[in-house]
Amino acid sequence: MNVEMLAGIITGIVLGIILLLVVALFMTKKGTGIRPQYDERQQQVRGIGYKYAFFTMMFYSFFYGFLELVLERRLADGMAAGFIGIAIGAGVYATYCIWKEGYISLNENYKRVCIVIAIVCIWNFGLGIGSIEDGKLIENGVLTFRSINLICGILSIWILLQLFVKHCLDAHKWKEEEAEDE
Amino acid sequence: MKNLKLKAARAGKDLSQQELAELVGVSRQTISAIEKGDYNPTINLCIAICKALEKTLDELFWEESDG
Repeated sequence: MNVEMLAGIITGIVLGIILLLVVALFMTKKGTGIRPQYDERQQQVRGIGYKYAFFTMMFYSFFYGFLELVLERRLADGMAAGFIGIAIGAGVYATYCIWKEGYISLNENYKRVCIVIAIVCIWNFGLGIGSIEDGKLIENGVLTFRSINLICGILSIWILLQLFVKHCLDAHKWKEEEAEDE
Repeated sequence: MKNLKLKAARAGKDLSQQELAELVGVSRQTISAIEKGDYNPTINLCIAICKALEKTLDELFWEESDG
């Protein structure tokens, strides 16, 4: 890795962190209208979701370390290995929250959430496919940090797919409940 | 255990689950879960529901014992 590339990565990470902090500050400020609000049941669901995600990441860390120890070779560089764990944890969390109806907050719109995730998905897949074409995704048999976009894209598709399936099932269930009310 | 008293009180007020949910500031799924007996609400939410439906806590949430 040359100096220019390293400088580019560091600049990207710093800019990403600054952007995240600005968004987080804006979202946590009351009265902005974009701070997600969850009711008590949703908060409970999200808490359990975090717990499952935490244990999944613990299991992944152990399993990945064990696998490298047994195989006596590196499978992925530090950044890629770490990010796979984050993606699996986030996937477990999102899956639990979606199916227990705690993913979309009270002031969020289903369509808007789906559009944002779809944009994230397309953006990351675009960059991921670029890395595949460059042939830099795997170097010397080791998955490199360039796989992060692809992993992010896969995670986004996973979330999007579940949101869609859940939405379809809910629409059917809701109609049944409304008919029962009448 | 299903909360049929809540469902009846809501129907008596001619409110849908969505309308009641908006009145008390929760999601429709939460109202549905309470009615189905899948979720036990906190006392704060119970009170909010009672006020919205003009009922007492006893009328909506007290379970009569069998014996």
